[in-house]
Amino acid sequence: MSKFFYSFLILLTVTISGCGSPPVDTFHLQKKYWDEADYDNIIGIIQYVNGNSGTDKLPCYAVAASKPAFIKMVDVENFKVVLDDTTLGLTFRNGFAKKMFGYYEAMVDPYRVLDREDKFVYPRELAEILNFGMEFQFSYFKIGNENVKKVADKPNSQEVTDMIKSNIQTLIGNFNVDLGFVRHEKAFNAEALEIFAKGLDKYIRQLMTEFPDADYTNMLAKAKLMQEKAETPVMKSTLATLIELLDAKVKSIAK
Amino acid sequence: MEPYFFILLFFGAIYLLGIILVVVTAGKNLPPLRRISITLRINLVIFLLGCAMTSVAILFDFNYLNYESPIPYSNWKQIRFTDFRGLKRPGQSLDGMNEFAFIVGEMQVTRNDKAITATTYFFPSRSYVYNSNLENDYLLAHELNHLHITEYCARLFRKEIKAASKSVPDDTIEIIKTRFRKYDDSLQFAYDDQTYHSYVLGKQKAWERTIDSCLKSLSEYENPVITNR
Repeated sequence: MSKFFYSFLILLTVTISGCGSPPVDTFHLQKKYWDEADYDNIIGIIQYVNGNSGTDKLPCYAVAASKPAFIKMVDVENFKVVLDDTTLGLTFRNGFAKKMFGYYEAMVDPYRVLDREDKFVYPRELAEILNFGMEFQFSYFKIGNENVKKVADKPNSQEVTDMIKSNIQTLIGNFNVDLGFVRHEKAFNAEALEIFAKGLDKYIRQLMTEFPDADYTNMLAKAKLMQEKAETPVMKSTLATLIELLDAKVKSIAK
Repeated sequence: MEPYFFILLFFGAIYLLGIILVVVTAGKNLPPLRRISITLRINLVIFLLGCAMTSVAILFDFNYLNYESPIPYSNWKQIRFTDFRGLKRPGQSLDGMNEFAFIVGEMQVTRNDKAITATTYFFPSRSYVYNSNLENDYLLAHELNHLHITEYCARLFRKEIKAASKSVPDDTIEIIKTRFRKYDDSLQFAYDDQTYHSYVLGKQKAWERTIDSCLKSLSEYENPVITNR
């Protein structure tokens, strides 16, 4: 009898174990939008991997298992769905935006790591993170400025107007930092450089449209310096166009 | 048909084949009576195991251990998360998240000589929340709006039945009911997709306003009882 019983048990075990279980979705990739918990999770992983350099790769396009996580991380819908939703309170959105800015900052450093040939290890990823950051900062500063007006006793006072202007100049300053990445153009590969150049063109144009009265003198100077350093045709042509636009903007404001 | 049925059928067939294989190959030198006895014993074990597994499987669909009878839509304001008594299936998650809720609401149609009754019910023992002591008005509002959508479809059903010029035969009622159930399913899907289970608050509020106005526009069909002509 025991022979039959054990045969039956083996059959049962084999069948049940054959069912298996789905792989654990560490990054919650099925989620339509990532929230703060998901960013906390991936930033934690990025920092851990970064701290153990040489053993693992950061989430990137080259690693099939982590590619979807990287794509999800730089999906602008993750912040837009919160920051553009005016049903949500301004204080809530401002808090979310501040955290998101922290996440963005935490992304940049690990992904700008260089290899022994002074090339970016993650060129495409870095370019996409920089573009993500530029897109995000429009919403971030807009909400920040709305919040300044909301908490001020006199939203129309000179003090508030000056603070908002100063914030816009800070935003332009942040974009200047992005523009400074042109000096590392040789560290990018052709694909990444294309992505980054398109981003610069798109977001600096958007900057001038959204803040037409801001002071772009420093940005113009920076763009000219970068043009002198630029060697690749894609970057040279992008900068030439931007310099033309910035120059026209600076001159129109001076009048 | 429920997918569980096919799973059950599939594994049932595998087990049956397995038993036949074991008894035929391993017991070929045994006397016939001994073989029958072994087969019966194995069958008994499988039967008992099957009963136990079926009971557990049903439990995850409908928590009979913590039962509360269905609540009609007219009492929807009394529904709280403490009424969500169902269990989630092992491994079940919402896009990888474990903190979620789901509500089960359904229109049930009955008929007698004088009237057809189409009532929307909330099923406490089939609805689930990860923490029944949860005080989350946003999530509760989201779940209740699922019930409002079902009630909206029920009112559409009542309107169509009432508009019929003569008594509606049972098979026609079934066809109309199926049509509105499918419509309900499509609305529920769109609602969850657009609001992302209440995460997108702007969309959530928009859906609440829309369904509320839809219900108001059909307020004359609020009564579940439709009198036969």
